[in-house]
Amino acid sequence: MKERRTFLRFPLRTKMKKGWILILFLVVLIGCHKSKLPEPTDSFYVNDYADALMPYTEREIVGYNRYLYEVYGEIQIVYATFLVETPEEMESIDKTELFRHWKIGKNDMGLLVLLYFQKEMIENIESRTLVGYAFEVGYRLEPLYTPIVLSDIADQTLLNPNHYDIADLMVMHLNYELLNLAYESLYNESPISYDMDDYFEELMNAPYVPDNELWDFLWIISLLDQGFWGYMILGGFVLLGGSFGIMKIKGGGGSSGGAGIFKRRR
Amino acid sequence: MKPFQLVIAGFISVLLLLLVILTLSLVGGYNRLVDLDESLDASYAQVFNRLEQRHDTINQMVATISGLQEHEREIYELIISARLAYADAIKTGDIDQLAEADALESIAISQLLVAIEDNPMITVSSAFNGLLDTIYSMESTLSVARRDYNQAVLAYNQNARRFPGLIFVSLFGFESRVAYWKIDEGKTDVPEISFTN
Repeated sequence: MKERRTFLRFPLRTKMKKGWILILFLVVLIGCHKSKLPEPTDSFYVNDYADALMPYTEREIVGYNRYLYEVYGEIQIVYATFLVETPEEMESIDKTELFRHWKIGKNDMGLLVLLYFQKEMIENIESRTLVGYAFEVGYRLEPLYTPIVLSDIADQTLLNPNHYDIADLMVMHLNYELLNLAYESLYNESPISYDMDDYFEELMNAPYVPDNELWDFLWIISLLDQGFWGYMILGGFVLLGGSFGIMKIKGGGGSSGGAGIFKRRR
Repeated sequence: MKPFQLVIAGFISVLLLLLVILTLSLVGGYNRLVDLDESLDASYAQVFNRLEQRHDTINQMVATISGLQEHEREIYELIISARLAYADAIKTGDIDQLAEADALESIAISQLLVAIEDNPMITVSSAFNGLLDTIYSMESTLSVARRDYNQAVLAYNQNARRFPGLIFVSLFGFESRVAYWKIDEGKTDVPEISFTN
């Protein structure tokens, strides 16, 4: 009888184990479903796929833009940089689809800025040159960020000769202007006062801080070192479809209809 | 309870269950059709709004250009005929006619932009560059609105022609098939705008 119970118990356990493995496999498969569009990074507001910005600028933009959204609750201004080799590559990224995929802004009050860079070697140093830009405006921000307004702002910031093609200065200046327009026109707030020369000084003197990937890696290692509960927490994050970023920022559910501008260098 | 009564009670229960299932599927089917129909109307309204915005922008754009009539008579006539076709389509409310007028306006705009770029004799006012950005935006929004409308039509038609959707369509008097917004390949492309630095 004892033998029989043992005989019954193990196959049942094995079946259950197999079932759990199957469920886990399916969950991971669903979680791994890849869209053609890139997923936003954990910081959400800056998605520097072209590696054109310094971590200091990224953190500054995330700080300012997160504040705007979390305090006022509607507008999300999000950046995405792409490294391209040919002009056709710029057009292959559907800005409307990307905006809708990332669900930027609450109540359709989002703004997506796409910056296209090309790799260039200047005196054996690899650098990034802006070759195109695009804006995608959420439905309810269309009256504020009109094509004419956006074009003027881009001329003053992205194409400003005083920034010497330094992506950090161009993008930070652009962000200040976009934020100030929202603060002044929508929320009747005083604009952020800034000086791009001061910002350049700050940028040059900013201490090195490792990017998110390194922190994620250290976090995983420390969890694995915790034994059973570490594995459980890690498993929980994977099952919930979470990224390894501890606090993943998400879009506010907004949508857009193609409004905005797209320009490339002649 | 007697066996006969049990059979009757069972029969009534099954009948009631079937009635509940039928009512639920009727309500569900009707609501789904209403949702799809509303989404279709909303998408159409969006295309219409965008067309109106573009039409206004074209009128402003023509006003900022001088010298066009002398040098590019054909384009000027194309713009005029596109505007007239649009006005006629609005009067009739016919989707196909509106789509044709839309395509005609798109062709007129692209040819106008090419003519301005190629012909130094055409002078444009400072407001023109701003309108150029607006035109890009308008064409882009129209392109997205047309695509959204056609996706809404696809969802509606799929539901209306599949089982059991086709039963609900004839039962509640919905349209069995809605026409797509005709998009001529290449004719409705978003114009390209570049910068020098």
